[in-house]
Amino acid sequence: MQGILDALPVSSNGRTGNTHQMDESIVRQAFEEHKDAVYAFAWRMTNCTAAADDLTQDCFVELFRQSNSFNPARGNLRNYLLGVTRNLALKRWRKENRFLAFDDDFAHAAALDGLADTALAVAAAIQSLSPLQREVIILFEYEGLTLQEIAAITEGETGTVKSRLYRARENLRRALASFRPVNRGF
Amino acid sequence: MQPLNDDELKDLLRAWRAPRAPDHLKTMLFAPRPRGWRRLLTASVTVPVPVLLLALILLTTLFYFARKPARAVSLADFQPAKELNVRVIRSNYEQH
Repeated sequence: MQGILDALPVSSNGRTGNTHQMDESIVRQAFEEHKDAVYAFAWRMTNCTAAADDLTQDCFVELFRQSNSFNPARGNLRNYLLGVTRNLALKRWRKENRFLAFDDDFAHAAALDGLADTALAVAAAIQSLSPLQREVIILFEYEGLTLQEIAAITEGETGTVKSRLYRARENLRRALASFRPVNRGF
Repeated sequence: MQPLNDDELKDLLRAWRAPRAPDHLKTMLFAPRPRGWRRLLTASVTVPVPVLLLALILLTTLFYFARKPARAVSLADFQPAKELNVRVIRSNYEQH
């Protein structure tokens, strides 16, 4: 099977006509180091394995093609890749939900009744958040990013990220109230 | 029902674990380019739809004309000439 990077058009300068292309060995190294973080973020954003596959691939192809857009002064490579994945995920969401407003505040009522598995309930509750709240809660709670790092990735203000995180948590607190963990006795 | 507190929410969120990146992603991204005849067998080309449609129209037209039988020629309508008025024109060379 031919790799996606191999399928990119070849020019006399190298694989692509882009003079800012990143060396394939560097992309390989970045892939080995950050594939799990990128995949986990894509998977949580979409809650779909196939979509996570696509987004992860597209993210590293983007790194290969547009390496000049990565500026180490603005953050580390992991955060840059999460940012690329975030943009790809939102683009995909917009395509699939053309008639839904990209509203910061909406949250579907999650259908959690009857879900015996806590993990499934958490997944459903997070999926019920708006994409902007979802990305903030995932980046903060699961990827361990700071508010400033999230603001840099989402190209927004730290205050906006903070209020979005607050609203996301409030929505989750209410949605998951019936799944309160049992008291462990300490 | 009373909403969860911070610790309870964190505990619950931890229950949702993401899978690791599958191995086939690496293959899809970095698999080596096939060489020689393998490349010929696996290569693909992208054709714009208008070009494809034009090619189909051309092929259909060629196929139509290739299959259409040539009109049969019959000698039945040919009749021998009844009168021939032959006029001989001599060349300048012969006149001298």
